[in-house]
Amino acid sequence: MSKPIISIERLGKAYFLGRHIDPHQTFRDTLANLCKAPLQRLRERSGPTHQSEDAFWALRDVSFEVNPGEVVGLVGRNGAGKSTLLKLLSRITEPTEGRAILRGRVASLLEVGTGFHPELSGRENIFLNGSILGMTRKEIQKKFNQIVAFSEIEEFLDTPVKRYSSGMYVRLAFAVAAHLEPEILIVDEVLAVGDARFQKRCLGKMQEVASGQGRTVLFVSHNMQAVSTLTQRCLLLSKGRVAAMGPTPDIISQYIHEGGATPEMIYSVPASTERPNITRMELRTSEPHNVQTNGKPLQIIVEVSTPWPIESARVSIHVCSRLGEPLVHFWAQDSDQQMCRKPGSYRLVFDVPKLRLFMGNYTLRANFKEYFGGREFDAVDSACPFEVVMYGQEREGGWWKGACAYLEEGKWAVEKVA
Amino acid sequence: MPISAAVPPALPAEVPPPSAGLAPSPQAVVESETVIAPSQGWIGVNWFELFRSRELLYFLVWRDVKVRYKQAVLGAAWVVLQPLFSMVLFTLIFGRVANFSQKMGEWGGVYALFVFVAMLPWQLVFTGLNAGGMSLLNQTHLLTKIYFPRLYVPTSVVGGALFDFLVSAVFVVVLMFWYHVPPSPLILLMPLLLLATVACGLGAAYLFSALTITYRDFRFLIPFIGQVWMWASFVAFPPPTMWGAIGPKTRMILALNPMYGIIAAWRKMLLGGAPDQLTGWNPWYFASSIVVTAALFLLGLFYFRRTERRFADIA
Repeated sequence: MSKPIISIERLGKAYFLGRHIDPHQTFRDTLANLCKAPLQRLRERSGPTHQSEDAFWALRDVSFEVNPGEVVGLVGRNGAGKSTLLKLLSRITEPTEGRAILRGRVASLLEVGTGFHPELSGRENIFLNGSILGMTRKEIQKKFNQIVAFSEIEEFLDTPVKRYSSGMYVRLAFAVAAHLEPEILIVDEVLAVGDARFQKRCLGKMQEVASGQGRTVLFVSHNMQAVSTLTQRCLLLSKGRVAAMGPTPDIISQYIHEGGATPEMIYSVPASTERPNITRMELRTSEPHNVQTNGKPLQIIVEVSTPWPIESARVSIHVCSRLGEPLVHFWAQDSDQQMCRKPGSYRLVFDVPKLRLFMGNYTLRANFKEYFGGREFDAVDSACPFEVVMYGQEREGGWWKGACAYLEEGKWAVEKVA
Repeated sequence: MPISAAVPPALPAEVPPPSAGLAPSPQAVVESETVIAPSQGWIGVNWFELFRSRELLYFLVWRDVKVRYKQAVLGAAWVVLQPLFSMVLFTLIFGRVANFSQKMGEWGGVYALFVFVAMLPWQLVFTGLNAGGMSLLNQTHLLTKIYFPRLYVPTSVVGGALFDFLVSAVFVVVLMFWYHVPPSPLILLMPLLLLATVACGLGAAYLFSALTITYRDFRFLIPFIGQVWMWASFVAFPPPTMWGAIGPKTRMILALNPMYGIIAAWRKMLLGGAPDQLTGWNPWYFASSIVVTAALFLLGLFYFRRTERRFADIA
């Protein structure tokens, strides 16, 4: 088929701040406005004036096409308009301008378990949710056993879902969604739920849907691994506009490099005259803006300052997980490298030739103390947030966030023993 | 080679999945084109879409009915108990205190039945106004997460009310046997009258659900509107035709209230022997009720369609 399955022409969505999205708009306000500005209202009615000052364009001038069977990723920072675009294409909300043509049956999955009712049993919710997602009763009946098998909740099929654990709930919800059979599937960050093992199965199922069955998928995720595993082409949105569209690897690297440096990426305070302190902490990551590729070198730079001589200075650094749990520890001490024996500022550089931390978000924690006597001069927590990505490293099936903390090097030997 | 703690599922891309059920469904073959573009002003109703997803309506009604009586010891018995309690209350207050029971007997009617027969259509329309009016606001999580014909949200509430109506109707039959009150031959027209009652409930549900989500004031106004409407429909006490001369103001109220004619018609139909004065029946008021019902239904439907495009933004 030569016709694109999705054609989008100059699609835009504006929110009229203070008017259309004000949740507390009252009848009285409307009546008052009607009386106050009849002329303005008339003007508006004669045609939407898009130059309206209070209009906020969540999305504007978005045009692109998707061919049948293509899996397209949608990436962008928070607030770039990804969700708005998905909402427009799912027909949840109407565009303000432009148009989109979808040639085929559409199913959208902005959330798993939409319409689940806590009082109803698992069995009942499969039918209810399936029907809300656009399946016919026959289709649901046909797939019922597959859905139950995929969700692994056979025993609890007749229990109200309000008694389910959150894991069971999500498994059941995804199982229903995974058995949808549209020609166009629109998926938001639904894989961000559930445990790692289930996330893997969901992604596997997505992959099956995308590649095995020739469906067209529009996929939004912050998980670059999932995006690079599932998609060949990506659209990068930035501030409501299309920043780029092209092959996934190019777009992902553009996305990673696009982010602006934020001040907290570098920890920096003036030297104190009253006590020794840590004046600067900085990372030299393999990619810009504190993004580090696993397996590439990383440099950690720490500067300390002391107003008086220290006998046995020690600077220790932890790399901590998002939960603040220390994962890696390294230190510099006077007995190995002489330092701080005279007042002044010192720069310490720690070279990691090959960072083996697994994908995820990390921060640094540091303290500066005296080894003999154990006096602590200064401590810094949650400094230099950085992200480790697995980009450029291929593995069959991709990588899963949270699978482990770091990757060890080693060698397998396999032999048949029986 | 790096080793990680978890092993991904190896899914060969070329091999089709083993399960036969995953083959594209027949619907997928039919090419359907959806055009998404801004719409303006009054828009029509997409009957084709409503028909295609009629099963969703069925599931929504089913959910409503099922959930309502879950974890209630008496379960579905509440369908009958609710109007029954109102009936008992009215019988105690108006029947005893205002002495309607005795007067009603002189006029040739049974007060309890007189009230219960009116409660039947009134409950349906009141549920449309009250629960239907709040339905969109209670389902905002659906409105902002998925597309489906939004009209089905208030429609399903009225669908649930219709289920209650049918259950209570059985109880009316029991009461009629108990008091030896035969229906009039007009009972053959019941389907049409039921249609008018449902249309009135739907009209109220459409209009007030769309109003409530746009202007939250209606949350507080609806209970009040419901009360006024109930008294204006003469559910609990005899209609003004019993009080002798009717002034022009009362006449206006009777003509403009769609429920007046509808309730009078239900009474005339089910309380076979009762005089028109007692049932409040008057063909002109009934005709005017039907016209107002049709107007309410159409106004509700089109106002709903007109505001529908903004639901997800203002929900």
